[in-house]
Amino acid sequence: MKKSQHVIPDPNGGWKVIKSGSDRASKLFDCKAPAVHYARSLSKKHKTDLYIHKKDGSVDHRSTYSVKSSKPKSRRSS
Amino acid sequence: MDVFINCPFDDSYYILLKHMIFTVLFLGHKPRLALEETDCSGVRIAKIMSLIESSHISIHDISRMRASRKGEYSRLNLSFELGLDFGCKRYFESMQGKKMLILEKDRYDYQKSISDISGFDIKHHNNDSTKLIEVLRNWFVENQLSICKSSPNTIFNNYCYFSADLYDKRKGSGYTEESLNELPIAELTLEMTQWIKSTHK
Repeated sequence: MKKSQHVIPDPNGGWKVIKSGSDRASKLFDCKAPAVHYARSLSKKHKTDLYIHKKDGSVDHRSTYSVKSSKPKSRRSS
Repeated sequence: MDVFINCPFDDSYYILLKHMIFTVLFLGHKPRLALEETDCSGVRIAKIMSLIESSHISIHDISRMRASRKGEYSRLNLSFELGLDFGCKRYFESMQGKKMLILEKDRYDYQKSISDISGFDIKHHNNDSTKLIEVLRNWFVENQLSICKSSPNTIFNNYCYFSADLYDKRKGSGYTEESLNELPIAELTLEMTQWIKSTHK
């Protein structure tokens, strides 16, 4: 199973893009929007799921680009 | 080991509480809270005393003792339970090795409300989850209560991965975001326990 991408807050400020189960971020960003943009491009490229987290670590939004789905499906938490 | 957690149970503390429970589990211990059972037939104080007497580690967050607005009563349950736990450690021979961590929001706040506890191990978390995880992780390791080699950052990353897995699992069962965020503490603790067990064998 392919590892999903996560956009999560960085403890030193800003946001990071990190692969599920990893300790090292792929990339750090000052703001959330460019982090989401970058993570989305990675997810599309590698056909993986994308989880965008809130500041508290809970899930704000999930998109799937995995092979099973023909179109990207998005679910946003209310 | 059982870890008695004495902290506020209001909505504004719920996020910190979730992070605290996850961190305690990640460090290899079992969080014990008065909320873990909601059976009305028991007397609350008896349940709390039983938890105190069976836990060799305790965490007391007294950060909400201060009233947040004019006219609000100060909260005395937190300091009362801290006193019970201190008595347990002081008067029960078998509990003299009990380790107690006291948390506050801002450094030295306690000196204004409960200065009798000067000399205790008191840490502050600024109401910040990242800081709370760091304080907990470092205290457990410093006191040789955990051999965790993971950084606070790694613990928070794992909390995020857990949240993602829980989101998928529960959304598939018809849970809304709201109900997911209001899972009873006992149920959430069980989910965290199972997740940590399955991912950190």
